[in-house]
Amino acid sequence: MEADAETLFDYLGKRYEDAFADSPNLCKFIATAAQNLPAQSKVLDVGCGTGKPVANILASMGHDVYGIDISQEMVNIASSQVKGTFQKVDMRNYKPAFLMDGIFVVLSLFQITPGETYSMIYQWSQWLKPGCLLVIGVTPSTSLPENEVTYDATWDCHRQMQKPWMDKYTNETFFSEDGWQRMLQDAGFESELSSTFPFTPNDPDHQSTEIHYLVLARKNEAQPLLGPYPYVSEENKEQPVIRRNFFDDRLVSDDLSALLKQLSCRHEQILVLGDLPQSKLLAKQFCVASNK
Amino acid sequence: MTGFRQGIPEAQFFDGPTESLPFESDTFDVVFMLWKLEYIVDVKTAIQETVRVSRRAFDAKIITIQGAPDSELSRFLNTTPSLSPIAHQGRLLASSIEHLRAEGFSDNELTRIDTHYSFLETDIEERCNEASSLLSRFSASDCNRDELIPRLKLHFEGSRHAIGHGMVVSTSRLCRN
Repeated sequence: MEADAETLFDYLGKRYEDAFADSPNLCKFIATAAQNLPAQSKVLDVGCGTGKPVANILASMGHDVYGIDISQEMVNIASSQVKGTFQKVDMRNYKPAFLMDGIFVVLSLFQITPGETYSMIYQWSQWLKPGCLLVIGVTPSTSLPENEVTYDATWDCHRQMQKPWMDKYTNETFFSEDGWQRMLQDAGFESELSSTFPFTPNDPDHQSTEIHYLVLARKNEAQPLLGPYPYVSEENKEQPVIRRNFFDDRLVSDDLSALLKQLSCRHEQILVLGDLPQSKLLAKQFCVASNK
Repeated sequence: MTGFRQGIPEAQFFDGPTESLPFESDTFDVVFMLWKLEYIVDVKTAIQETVRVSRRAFDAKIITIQGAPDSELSRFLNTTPSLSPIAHQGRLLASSIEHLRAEGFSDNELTRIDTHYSFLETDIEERCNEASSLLSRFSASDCNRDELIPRLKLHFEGSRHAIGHGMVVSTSRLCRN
């Protein structure tokens, strides 16, 4: 059975830092990105681990560091050795209290699904001030042996199921370099710098060389929720319009229920445009006016 | 025209052409458009109509809900050759926001809401069959199961019981300036 990220990194603790922190190419790239930030920027390290090397470099260059990680053990270590504010939270559920000047997501995306990865890119854009910087660090799918991965045509990426890693088994997701460039563009980022290099972990039981791919990108579109970008002219012009009622009984949304409840708490005149009176989700919130 | 019944407010529902709404002007505090933009032929006239029936008050709202760019369901529709792709949701929303702005509803806020289809079946084959049926209902014709089922199996390896269908809520109000 594969381990989830929380179990995995609670188990690894300091051993992860010992294996992965000593990466001169990575440290150089992070320092270059940090130099591109205004002084005393608010920066977020997503999947901060033990805080070394990424958060530590950012803090040592005078930036105001916030780190999040799914593992309490990692957060405890980071808090003990790096100046910053560290919090145990799953990146998929995180909502920052303010907008960031920079976001760093380095080697922390392996254990989420392709759909979650794509969604996170849009969320990072929402967490960033316009014109500010994102750094990602991943292993590209192009560096993996084809016989060890499965192609996922829906997301144009590769998946590695039950991968043996640091004494455990994990399910991992890998996009190609081109795939990452496309996804960043979709969410309104413009790539400014990238670097690819081999890295061998310093661990007695895990010394397989892997490829690390780093990208520095700038948020160029103010509103990621109106993506994907860029808009292509004449797109979908020839597509026939299909009537779809997405409010199927399987649809679940606490957010939508809360929004409808909020509306229905007020004595307001409400007009709903759409083929929706049969929707159970909506019927809980509204009566259909019998006549007008 | 509307009121409360057992604590639940009544809403008027209308699914005809938005370009011609059978309601009096200056009537509604909230006009709620759910996944309506694909079916509108003349966006400018449709938005002018929603503005006409909205109350000219600063607390009046025109709320539009469409798909988020990261919807997994939309991804299946757009990348599986035997399924029918969905229109670019961001562009539809951007166009409606521009027309609302031109009509004075220029105070706009966008938020993303989490929404998903739930598949609680314990057997993965059954889950894939149910998801395949759902996706086929959103397409012009039945899907090619040989193509879709392996994709769904991979999906459920990671997201065991859900297909995400995030949505964007666009709320426009009259500008106070």
